[in-house]
Amino acid sequence: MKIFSRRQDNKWQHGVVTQIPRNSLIMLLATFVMVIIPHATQISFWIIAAGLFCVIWRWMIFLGRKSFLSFWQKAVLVLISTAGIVITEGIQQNLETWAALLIMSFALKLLEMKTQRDAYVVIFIAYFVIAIQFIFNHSIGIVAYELCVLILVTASMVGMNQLHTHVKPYESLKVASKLLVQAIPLMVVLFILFPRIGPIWAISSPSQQARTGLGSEMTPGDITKLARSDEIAFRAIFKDEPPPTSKLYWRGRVYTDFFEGKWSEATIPQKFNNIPKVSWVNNIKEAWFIPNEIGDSEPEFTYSILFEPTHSRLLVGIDLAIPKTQSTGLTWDYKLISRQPVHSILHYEVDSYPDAALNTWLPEYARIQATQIDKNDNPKIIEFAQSLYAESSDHELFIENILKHIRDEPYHYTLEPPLLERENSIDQFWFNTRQGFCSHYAGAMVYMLRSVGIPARMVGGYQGGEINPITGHVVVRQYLAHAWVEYWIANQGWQRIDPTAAVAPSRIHENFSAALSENDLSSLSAFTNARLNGVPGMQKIMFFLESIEHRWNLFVIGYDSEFQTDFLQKLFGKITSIKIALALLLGAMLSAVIVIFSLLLPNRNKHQHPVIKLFLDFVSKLSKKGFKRKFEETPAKFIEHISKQTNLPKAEYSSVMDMINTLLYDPSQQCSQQKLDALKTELDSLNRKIQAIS
Amino acid sequence: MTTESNARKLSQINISQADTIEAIIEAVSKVLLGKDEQIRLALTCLFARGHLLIEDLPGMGKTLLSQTLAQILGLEYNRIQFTSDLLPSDVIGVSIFDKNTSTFRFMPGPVFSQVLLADEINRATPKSQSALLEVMEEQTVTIEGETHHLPQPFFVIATQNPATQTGTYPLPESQVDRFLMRIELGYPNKEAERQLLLDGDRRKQLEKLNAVISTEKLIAIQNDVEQVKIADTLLDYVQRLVDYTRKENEFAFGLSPRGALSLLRAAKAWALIHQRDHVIPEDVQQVLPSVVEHRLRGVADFTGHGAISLAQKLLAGVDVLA
Repeated sequence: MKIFSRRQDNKWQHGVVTQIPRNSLIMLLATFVMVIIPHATQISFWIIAAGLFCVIWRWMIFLGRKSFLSFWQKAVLVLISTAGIVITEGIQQNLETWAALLIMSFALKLLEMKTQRDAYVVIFIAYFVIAIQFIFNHSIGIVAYELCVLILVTASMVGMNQLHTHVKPYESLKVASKLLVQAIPLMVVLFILFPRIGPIWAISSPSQQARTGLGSEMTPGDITKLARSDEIAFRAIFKDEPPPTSKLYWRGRVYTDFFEGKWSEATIPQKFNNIPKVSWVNNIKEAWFIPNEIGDSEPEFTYSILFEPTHSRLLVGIDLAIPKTQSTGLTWDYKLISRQPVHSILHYEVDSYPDAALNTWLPEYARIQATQIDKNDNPKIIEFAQSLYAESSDHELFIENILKHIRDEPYHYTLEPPLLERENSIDQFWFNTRQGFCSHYAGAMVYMLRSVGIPARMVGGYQGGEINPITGHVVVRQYLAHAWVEYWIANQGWQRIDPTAAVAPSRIHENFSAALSENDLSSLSAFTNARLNGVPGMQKIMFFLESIEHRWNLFVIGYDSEFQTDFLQKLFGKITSIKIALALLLGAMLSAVIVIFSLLLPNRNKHQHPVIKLFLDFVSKLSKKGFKRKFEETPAKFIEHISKQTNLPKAEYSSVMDMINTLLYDPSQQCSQQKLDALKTELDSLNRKIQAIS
Repeated sequence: MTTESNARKLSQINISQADTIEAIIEAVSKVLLGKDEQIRLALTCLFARGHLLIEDLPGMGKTLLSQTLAQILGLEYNRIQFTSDLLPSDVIGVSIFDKNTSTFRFMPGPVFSQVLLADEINRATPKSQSALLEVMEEQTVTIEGETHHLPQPFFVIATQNPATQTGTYPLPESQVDRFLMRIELGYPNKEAERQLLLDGDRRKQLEKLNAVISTEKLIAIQNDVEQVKIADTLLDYVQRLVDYTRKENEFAFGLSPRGALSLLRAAKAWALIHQRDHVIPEDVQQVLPSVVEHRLRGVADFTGHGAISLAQKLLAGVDVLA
């Protein structure tokens, strides 16, 4: 065991071993744990466990119960852990695998951390691992946590520089916090000025794809799963007052195909590829699927959306949504999309024209797709629809009759509908269970419309939103996921109809919780309940926290290159490299000023003796002339020293010396204002004499 | 007694005793040439009721200084030559059986005197050195359950060779701390050395020496030292100095409260010698190296003899004013 190895190159520390001091080691190990723990959300848990095991092992080494590993033992460990990562994380080249590899090697590094030099390597890796965390998550909570960890890492580095008998964790933490506070101005300037390089951070990480939000396939039960999540889907900031919730139909996906109880997005046949399906923001108004009248008219709502990462390209908007942000576009079925998958919060602006007609002309294939049903599946509802249609004189009456049927018959809106079989699922719902969520009703309605030849499809998205009273933005959470129906009429285009409004009107006109039964509510988490209709105090706190997060997203995470350019232009006018350099310099100087202040401040004693104050003023006046006072120079010595330097005769200064000494150090002398004034005059005149001579 | 009457009393005494103090210094410096500073420090130590440790190479006049001091102050003194086979009973005394009275009789050791000259103290084993621990702090000797008081005033003036010399045992920290001051004599300057070479053996002069002051007067001076006043601003400075030794990393450990008290006591005595009734920071700075060097140790200093630069660092690192 070579714990007490003595390194030759540390001659300055004569006779002192360079083993990592106990307190430093404890801090370092604690830091390590703090650094790797948040990574548990994206890498396999066993790697974190292995890390903790290495911590314990390293501590055992310190205690002398275990020894450092030999070269071969280490080599075997490396091989085993690499194999483990390949097995659990796969061999795709995604970020999680690389992060796992990094953290594993970080953990193994602990086992060969013998000297202080090794400890520094560990500290530097720790900084890197903290940075890695921000690729996966940059919510305000994580940033706050990582800031604390940053202080801890810096503190371990500070501790490493203390002498081994004097490692004081509390002191190191203080120093580290001070260092970081001093760096804040520089950080702010760098944050504002540093070029945003988007794509590098947006490396795809496949394992996270479509983890949240609406999928491209959906069974009616899927949406009820989303309804249990109170994760935020997106936030919207309306330019004016937010419209009532009944108007907030956020279109997400469009489901056209139905097969064995599952709805999915339509694939477009090859031969229709000549019709453009997407129009990007620059030439959006010329697209064939955008009605001409939109060209000049004012939008009804203008808003911007901060879209939480979904790792897919799909965005949301209220029909008819015209995107205004670069790299966003609109598909022919009015889905908003982004050019790149959304890996981090995306901020985009939209104009909405709710009255505009959608697809007054429909390509042939689309019409076919929107009327396709399998006659063998759900025969009863087809029959039911056809007989109902026969009773109705036109489309509108037919739809009204369907809604009336839902209203009059004992249909229930519930979060916990009975499970349906794959085949004849709609029949089963419509005639037997009669309990369903929005998607059940929408699905049944689409089926009925199609069975009488009306093109119809299901639209998935979100409905409603909570207004945060503090910032006035609209928050849309996953539990507001919703599905509704669109049917197509020649020349009028797609019409929205929402059967949920028939079974549970309060869902559309009030809010989500109003439509739920006691039973449903109790199946939701306590948090969701508190948010929906809970204690007013709790709600207030939640709104407050939410508003902080919103501002964070808006101003910190949403500070992308576009925002940056705008902001810098507002700040500096035309951006030139000189201005950028000056701003950087300013930040560095601000940091320096803070450093200087914090160095000077502790020396300023608030309860200073008036004579000391007078004398120090005198000293600072002279110091401008290059007469510096050393700490150990008493007032008398200082006066003597500078007087001798300037060849002032002793008679000129001895009286001042005596005065100061008696006033300061003779307790029998009262320090009256008179004497102070006299001293001030004396000091001033001495100052003048010295200034005159020098 | 009010502060004012105290001050008056002190200034009266000062005037009458200033001559005495000067006379003592003059008398000692006639024997030990060119060492005024060290003589003043030694006197400061004795006036502050402290024990004195003189450390230097052999032949630098350590023993001469201690003997001269004892003789000039008119004190009865005993000298012990510390050797490696010295036993504690050789220092403090022993009980012997009296045949006539059939009882044990305590035979006081050399420690029962006003000045104990402990020559080459670090040549004795730690066991024998420890015999001095109680004597130095409490000025009593407890032997076989009986406590014997020592005559007043009582000083230990010890000399020692640097610890790097062969055949020495380092003094235990507890004992080192009991010495108010440690001074070093150093080589004499050229003039003094020439005079010394001309005169020959200094010990002849020792015989001719007469006491300059009486014991009563010495006690009076010691009492005056206690009357020297200290301002809050000066206490702040002393506290800053002590704090610095406790906080800064280059010190293995900080000054003890006894160390702080000693520093203040020595500064008071120094002020009195310089005819002031209050302490100024210069007094503290003058006595500081002698008072703290043997109490401090640098972190990377295993012999305990790197403290000289530590005292300088301490002075340079602490602001006198704030």
